[in-house]
Amino acid sequence: MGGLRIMTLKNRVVAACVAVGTISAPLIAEAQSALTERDLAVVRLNIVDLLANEPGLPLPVRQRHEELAEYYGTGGGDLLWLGTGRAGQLVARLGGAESDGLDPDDYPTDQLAALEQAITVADRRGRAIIELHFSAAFLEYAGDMKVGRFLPRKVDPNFFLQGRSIEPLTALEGLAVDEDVDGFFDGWEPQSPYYQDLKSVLLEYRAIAQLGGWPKVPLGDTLKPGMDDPRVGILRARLAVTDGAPQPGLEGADVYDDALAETVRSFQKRHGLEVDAAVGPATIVALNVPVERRIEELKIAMERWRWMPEDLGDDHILVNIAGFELRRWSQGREEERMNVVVGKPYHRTPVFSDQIKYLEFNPYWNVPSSITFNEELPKLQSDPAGRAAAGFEAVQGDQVYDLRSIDWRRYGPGNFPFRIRQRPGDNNALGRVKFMFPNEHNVYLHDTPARSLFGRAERAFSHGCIRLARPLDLADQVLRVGGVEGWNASRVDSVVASRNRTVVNLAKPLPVHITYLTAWVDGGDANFRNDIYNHDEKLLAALDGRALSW
Amino acid sequence: MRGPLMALGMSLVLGTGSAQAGTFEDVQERGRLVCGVSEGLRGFSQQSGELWSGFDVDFCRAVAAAVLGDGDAVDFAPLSAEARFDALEAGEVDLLSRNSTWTGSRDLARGIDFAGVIYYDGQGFLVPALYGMSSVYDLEGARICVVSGTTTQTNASAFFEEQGMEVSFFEFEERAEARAAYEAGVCDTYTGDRSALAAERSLLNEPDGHVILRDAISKEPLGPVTRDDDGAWVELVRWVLFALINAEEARLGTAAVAGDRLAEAVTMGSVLTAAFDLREDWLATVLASTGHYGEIFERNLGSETPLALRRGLNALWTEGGLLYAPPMR
Repeated sequence: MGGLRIMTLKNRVVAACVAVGTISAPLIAEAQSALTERDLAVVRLNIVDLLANEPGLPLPVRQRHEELAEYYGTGGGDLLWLGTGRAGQLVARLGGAESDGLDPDDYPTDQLAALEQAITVADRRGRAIIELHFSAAFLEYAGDMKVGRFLPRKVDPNFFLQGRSIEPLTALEGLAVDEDVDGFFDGWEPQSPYYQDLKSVLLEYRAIAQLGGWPKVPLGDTLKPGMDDPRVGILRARLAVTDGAPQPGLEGADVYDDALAETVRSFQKRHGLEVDAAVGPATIVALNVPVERRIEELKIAMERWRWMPEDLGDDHILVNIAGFELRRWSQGREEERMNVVVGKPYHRTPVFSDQIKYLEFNPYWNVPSSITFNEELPKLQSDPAGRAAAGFEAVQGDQVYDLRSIDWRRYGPGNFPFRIRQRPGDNNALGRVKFMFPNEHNVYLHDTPARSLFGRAERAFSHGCIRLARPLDLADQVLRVGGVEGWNASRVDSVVASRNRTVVNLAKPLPVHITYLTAWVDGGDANFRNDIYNHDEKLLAALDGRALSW
Repeated sequence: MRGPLMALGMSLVLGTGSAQAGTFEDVQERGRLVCGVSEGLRGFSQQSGELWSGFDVDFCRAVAAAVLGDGDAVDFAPLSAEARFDALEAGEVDLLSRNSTWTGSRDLARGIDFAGVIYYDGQGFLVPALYGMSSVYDLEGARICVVSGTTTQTNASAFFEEQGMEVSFFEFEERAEARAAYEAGVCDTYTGDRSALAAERSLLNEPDGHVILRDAISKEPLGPVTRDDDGAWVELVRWVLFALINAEEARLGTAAVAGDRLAEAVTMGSVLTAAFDLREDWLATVLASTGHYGEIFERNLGSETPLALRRGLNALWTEGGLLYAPPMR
């Protein structure tokens, strides 16, 4: 890797490959004339010859040389652009890249359009180059659409991108049997309903943006039902844009009536706010996020879906960190949703896909070394009896020690021959069950004794693991779809009551997807959440080329 | 650091014309500012007949307007890259406003001070728009034209090596040769500082057919330079630069001071007025002469110019850029 060839061409005029690198202007200005079958056959021969023998092809073609040579050469594939209607269609699609949540400026739309005008020129090699340019641009767009745009790995290790790539030959051959570029892309783009719904809502929000967005509601006292205030009129106008605020009643637009309260509740719900119809600072901030920002969020969510595996699994679990929510799908349908607590911003829960392999009831909590030194050791030194009463014990090899039998002031980082763990029980940090999908991030799903946190609207409190609101319900379902015989809710209850550590392997591992989505669509309604980990901000910067570490 | 008032006091004792401190007094006595600029870099400093124009040239004018009350009271001294710092150290120019990168070795090893950063540049890449590329990471396998004898090729080699990307270089001694080879398709891309690439692009037959990739692979902060034995002078130059940036932030430009916002310019400039004993309306004079930072940028480098540079890093901090000047109060 990384071999650098240096060629020195000081003061020498280099004439080679001149005609290949750029399409000269006279070529483009050439008069139009219909391409005959014979012309096309000659162009095809030129393409094959160029791919076989020309070292000076334009960079985008060279970068896809192998696949293009295979398609046009050994595969004997038809011309895709010359003599077909597709060239104009591709230009139109690239020009409308916004509809795919992509940026038209990232593609050579105008340049291809200019080439398309020149498609009937007489220069056969020039025409061959045109065909290759179109194929290269097509593959670029097909890749961006299906698996996401290129991102430097350095952007954020927490993104943990599982890089996917397209098979260019499949795309070229797929297009060859499909007369229509849009028709091809319809079947090519991510088919997940999550993606498709985002795409539809993006269209709506772009229309809103074209009409000038929505008015800002001034900050001020919390607006509550029954109040009469000029800001209520503005609130009504704001909601009318996105939530269909009802017509004002007899009292007038400035009176906060019941119908408006209903609309506010629905707005609060779809923004993950306290659903109380009281329009305080948090609700006003959400109301005043400009439509352009919402559009960015929709586009970023689409980009994240492109990174996802194409097949999530008929049965699967999907956690959305930014939404503090878990969804369980069974046989291709969403069956259940559950609140979750995720990592606080300095203990970010990573994004990845894996498979749940086993459940562990009444688990020990093995305290990670970071928590041992940062949080447990001071407590052990000041109050070993208190920690022992909370169920903690020390392990060295096979030996288990009572915490009170050790002088903890003698130990510290670098000199710590123990593992600290917490026995199963009511106080156990992992609660009654954990769902394991062994991974390099040490992240799993588990129960928790800290139940009160599930009532909060924003739930980023953990050290990175995912805490479940109703773990035993989920255990029951996971065992069922995991193909484990002989389990039901009452057996789960009795195993939990036994306080004995019990591991149950799934016969059929269950796919689990840990995602970070600040935008999604529920029953046609756009949902937005705060960018708690600032992932969106970094991703936006990276896609705009601003995140290079210098 | 020596304060400006102390410097003024010293010059009273020593008398005017001292070659050591007192550039400010020298300039006032002479009635002209001698400003070192490049020998010709499109958009930054270019000469047409007797008339100089450009981004660097306008900064000279701004300083002259502040010190002398006249943005035209500048004698421009075109300097080559090799000669520029020697000329400054020897006292041949009062100020160097010549696309010079602020680096540790220059700042610490020479008798010069950088007053600040006026343009955040970086090494970039020019590619045919037809390639549809937007990032340097798209350049796998690229043939790269580069002008030899600068750090440009070393920078690029190091970058691609680190990224594990295979590229090859074609070296040329002169910009014109590199440009011609790039235009002829010998290379897929042409690398250099992005501001210079913008100038090169404007000289191609079809500038619109070429784009500068949006990311940079090196830091090249350009700024005005003074001698380092005159603390008062470097502070004055620095605060003229800050004033241009703060004025943009306050949307206080040529039209505003010509209209009803003259008093705001007086208030904004008041601390400097007192410190350097400037005329009360010095900032209004500067803004009338050159406009604020944004106006200087747009006039010389912006979208309506052949260079068509985006603000990018050189946008205000409030608009996603790096321009962040301490407040004038």
